[in-house]
Amino acid sequence: MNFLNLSFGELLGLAGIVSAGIVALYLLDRTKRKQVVATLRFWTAGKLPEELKHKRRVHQPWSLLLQIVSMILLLLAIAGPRFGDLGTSRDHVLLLDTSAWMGARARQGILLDQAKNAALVYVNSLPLLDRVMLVRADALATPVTQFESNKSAVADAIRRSRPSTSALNLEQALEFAQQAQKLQSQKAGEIVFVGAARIPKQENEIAVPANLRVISIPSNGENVGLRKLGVRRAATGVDSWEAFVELRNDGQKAREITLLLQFAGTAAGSKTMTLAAGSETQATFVFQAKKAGLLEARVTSTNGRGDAFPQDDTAVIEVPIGKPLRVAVYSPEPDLLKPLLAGNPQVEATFDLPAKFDAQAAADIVVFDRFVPKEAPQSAASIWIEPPAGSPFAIRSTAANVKLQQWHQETALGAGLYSKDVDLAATQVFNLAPGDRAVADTAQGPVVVERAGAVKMAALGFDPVRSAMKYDLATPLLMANLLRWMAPEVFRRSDVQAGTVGTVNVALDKGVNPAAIKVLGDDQRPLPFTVESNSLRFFAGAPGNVHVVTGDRETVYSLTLPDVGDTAWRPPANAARGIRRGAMAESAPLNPWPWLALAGGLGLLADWLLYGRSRIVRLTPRAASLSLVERLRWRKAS
Amino acid sequence: MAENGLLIDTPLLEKLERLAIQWQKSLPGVVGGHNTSRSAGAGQEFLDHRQFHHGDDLRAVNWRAYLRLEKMFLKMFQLEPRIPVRVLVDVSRSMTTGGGKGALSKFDYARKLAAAMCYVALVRLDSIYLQPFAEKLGDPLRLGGGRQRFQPVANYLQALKPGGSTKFFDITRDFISRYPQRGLVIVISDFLDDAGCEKPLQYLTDFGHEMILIHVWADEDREPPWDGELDLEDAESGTRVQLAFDDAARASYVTAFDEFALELRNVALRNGGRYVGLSTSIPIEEAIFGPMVRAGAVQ
Repeated sequence: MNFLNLSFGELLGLAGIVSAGIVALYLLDRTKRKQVVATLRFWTAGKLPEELKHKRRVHQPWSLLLQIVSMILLLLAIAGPRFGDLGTSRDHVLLLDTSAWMGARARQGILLDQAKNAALVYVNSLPLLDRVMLVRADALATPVTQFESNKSAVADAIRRSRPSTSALNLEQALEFAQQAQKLQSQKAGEIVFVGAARIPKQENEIAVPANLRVISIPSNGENVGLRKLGVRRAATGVDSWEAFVELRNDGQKAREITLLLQFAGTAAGSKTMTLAAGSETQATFVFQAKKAGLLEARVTSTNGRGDAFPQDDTAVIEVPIGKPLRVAVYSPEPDLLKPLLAGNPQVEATFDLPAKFDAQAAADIVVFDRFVPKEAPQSAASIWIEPPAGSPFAIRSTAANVKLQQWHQETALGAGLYSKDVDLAATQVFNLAPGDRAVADTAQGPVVVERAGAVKMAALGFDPVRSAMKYDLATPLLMANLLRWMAPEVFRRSDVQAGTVGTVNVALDKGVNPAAIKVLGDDQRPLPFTVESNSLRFFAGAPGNVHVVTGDRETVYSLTLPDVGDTAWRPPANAARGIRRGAMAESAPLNPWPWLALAGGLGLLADWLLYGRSRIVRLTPRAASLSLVERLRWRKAS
Repeated sequence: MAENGLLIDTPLLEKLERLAIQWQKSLPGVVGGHNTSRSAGAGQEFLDHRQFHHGDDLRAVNWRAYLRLEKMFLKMFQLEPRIPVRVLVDVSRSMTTGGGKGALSKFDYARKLAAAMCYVALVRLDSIYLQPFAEKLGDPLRLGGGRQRFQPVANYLQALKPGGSTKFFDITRDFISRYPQRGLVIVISDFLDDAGCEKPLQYLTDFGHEMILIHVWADEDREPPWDGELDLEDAESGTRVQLAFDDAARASYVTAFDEFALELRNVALRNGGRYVGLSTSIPIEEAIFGPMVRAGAVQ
């Protein structure tokens, strides 16, 4: 005997509580009620029964017994007892393929619709007591229900399933199903896979459980789609961008397609190509973009054949245009520094005499050449060249005809500078304050100093363009290091790539410090990732943008393309296929809850008819008083 | 409580002006009322002629008839006396039962009825004696002379407090000695006196008073709604009794109550009076213009 969620002991306990409640209410109903009345003359005149001496005595034991029995019958009906052989019930795991490919077109609707219908047929064919756990299988195996005997709940969960954007990870789904049966089932049944089973190429054969049943959903498979779309700045010009597109033909036949690229609604290029069956190809486009905009790649079939999976025919990414670096130069000879700054297209430099200094001017970096302002800028970084007294840097001495002996490679400003024995006709030698780092040294002391902090500063004891370094390669490199150190975000290389949802592999540059790598989601929350032999791997389960920052390089992955498996999985020959027939013919246990409910209801009705009805039916007071008035109506004597 | 503290609201007062208290006996009273009398006297309405006798008022001689017939006839006029109306209101503790759930207690109901009867009497220029009673007669309120005197009646009724037990025998004896002049007695009560009220009421009429009995009861007085074991307490005497109550007992109770009401009615009708039985669940207006008009207490 099975009481669903109640053990027999729990049922007895519940019945005892209900019975005690009924008895208590019964006795409470019969406690004496205190009442103040206008007179006692009519009460005594009615020859009423004598006072009852035992207050707690049960006056209508049959009524009480009938009520208790009826309530227990109703309780049993709610518990849903079942009689019969319950040992044959089994627990099945239903793996419903909800990968992106299940959104492909079918004869009617999409593939997932056919899979849902097949899954519903399978669930309905199971014996009444068998339990089913529904698991939606895509890149992850997500259980939707527990082992559930309520078939309608499982059917509702099946109907609510939608195709995801990730590829099917069949091996993981099968492992999950076996684990669920091992840990949670009472008697393991089948593991049923329903879907098209399009999976990525596997090096090893997938190990399948012995109790696997496969209900295959046939798919057309003729599909050409985009796999990647990336964009980065081209080396050919300031406004030039390079876009690369990767396509694949998943079908069984060669396809002639047209690849169209649009930027900001304007055609940026197109190519017509023929893709062999199962092949991949790449195409590269160069286009001009001065402002940010959307770059769209679209693939269309030129020979008019239908595409089974149109979701991967279009990819859109946003081309970022970074903000320029604003540099304000205040120098008695402003033209001297122009060649150093004007050559960089990412720098917008202004050159003025010190008399025109404006502390409120909008600038990211301010260069003070032999000039100390009355009011230093609060937020902008600053470069001090030969600073006079009153600057933030303390000058130890002024030296003449000295040689620059060393660049400190470990500093950000000295990295990559190797010039030695440069003659400096005149230079200032600085005292290092706490937090200062020497970038270049002479025998007298540091002549180039960097100061990190909330506002970065650097000081040069000599003017590179007015010294012997003017024609040295170290001069533009030093300026480049200064700008990059003070505004790294401007010079960070940024790539944008459109990819597929799921696992993403990123090839890292050599020498990248894994501790400096950041993988951030759209909301700037860090995502978990792994680094293994110059390869970064992370997983995105839902469409969105992921930012991968590695040092001075940022790559934005616009993961909007659906991840489609490469090949259709072929189940092993020993796996059962299709839907088992004749399952409903198995004997179902007896479930007498309607009869119990009916008996309980009849018992309560009988109690009400025999004992309770007379307490309820009353004359309404108003009608009673009016009837008396009518009876006593006075008649005139005349 | 009605607006302006008058116990009954103004629209009902306006309707009450159409009514007049009726009685059947010819009672003596001071001239000036609106009530007709079988006695001839100094009134305005012509009643009859009679032979002139020595000493009659010459102003009442019909001189036209004398000129034509050469005989002196005297015109007689209908007397319109101002009859004393005495309203006895029961203020015993038994009148406090039966209130709640939107219904008035018998005490409040009786005060409203008394106010209505006083207003009707005042409009007809009758003399009003408002007399509360329980164990004995309380201090009366004497009024007369028109509707503008109604406010003291309302104030007086509102100031009444319930208390004591009903003793009709003592009340009747006291009433007869205090009011020797015959008049109309309106008794508003539940008439619940353990010693019985039938004989005292009989004495009242034996002394020439005309009686209108307004029997007020709560619904639970007539048909108790309770079931099972009851611990009952008499509101006036405090006597307790415990009993079991069921449908059969309820039927016996109702029968006893109805017999009691019937006996009261017989006492009233047997002595030329009138009886009106009212439940507190009947609105005051409906009670006055329904059962009381049908019973002939007011017209």
